[in-house]
Amino acid sequence: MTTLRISDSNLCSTDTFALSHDTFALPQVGELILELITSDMPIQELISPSTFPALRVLAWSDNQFDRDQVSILLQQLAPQLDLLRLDEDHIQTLDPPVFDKINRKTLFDRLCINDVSLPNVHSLRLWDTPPLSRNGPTLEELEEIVRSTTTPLPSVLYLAGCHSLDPHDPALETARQRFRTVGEERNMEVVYEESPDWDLDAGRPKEFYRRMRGGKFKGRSV
Amino acid sequence: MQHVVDSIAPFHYHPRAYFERQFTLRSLCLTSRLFLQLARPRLYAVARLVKREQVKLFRDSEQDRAKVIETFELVLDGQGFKGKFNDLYPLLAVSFSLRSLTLLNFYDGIDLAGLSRLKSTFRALCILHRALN
Repeated sequence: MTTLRISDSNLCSTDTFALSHDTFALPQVGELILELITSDMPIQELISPSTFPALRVLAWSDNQFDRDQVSILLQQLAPQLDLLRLDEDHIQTLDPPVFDKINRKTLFDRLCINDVSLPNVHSLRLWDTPPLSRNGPTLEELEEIVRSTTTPLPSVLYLAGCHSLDPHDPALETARQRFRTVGEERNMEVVYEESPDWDLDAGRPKEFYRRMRGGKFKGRSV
Repeated sequence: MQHVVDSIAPFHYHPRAYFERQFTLRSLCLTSRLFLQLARPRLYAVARLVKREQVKLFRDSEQDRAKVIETFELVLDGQGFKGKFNDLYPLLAVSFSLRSLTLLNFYDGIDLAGLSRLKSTFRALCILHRALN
């Protein structure tokens, strides 16, 4: 098994597991996607290098754990992970040393809304999906945000359904190119891509995965 | 004809297309022996199970399919499962070709330790190690 996706569920443990951690391991799981998860026990005890020794990709979204648990979890998994996907609120809540450790291999995800600031992270994705488009900022408004931001910008900004649901809309080609140039002036690469499909593959960011794994990752989730 | 089957039934699961996909494949299976041969592996390649009975049937038919007709993506939706899910793990333990397992809506609890019964060589080694010591 390559991908394990658990959504809207509670993780629990049996007495057996609590007494003997070494009997539990999922060595075939390379990608773990957790969404809307709660747990009866500390998450870092359930998900660790010993329980998921082959884990290389972790997607973590809307899970109900306190910030300390998440920091411990990511700290212990960071050395083995090729890439992570996290909600952007973790930028503020992770322990700074943990953030520094994972920043370069993490895509921070943010729903595209009008009030956009661009944090100092390596990779940020602003996303939106039809039919619930939230009228996020236009490229011109994003341009203004870039110009008015004095702190460092993301190294790579992925616009996935943000500004337009069609990343190749010919009518916006000029505006896309101009925003790309504005980004380059501030050392920020802009990547336009399709809206994430949360049903199909939990919103897997294809271009980010391709770059981070150098085309190595072939699996797909449902 | 293979191309036709490929185009109407991709090898991955999508919740919005699943029922139509399976319906089309089942219809193809009834069309002729040739289409049965082409469509049957696709029918089982992706499976969504929403009831205990379906898990049991899936498990029971595994032996018939052997390793010739494999399941690559399996989705279990816990909304149709009453009570805990953990007793069903052994029923899934034979899904050797599984590339992707999705568990949705299991509010009563998923025991990851139980999931290690899914073709876990590591677990087998642990048990063997303990037996030897």
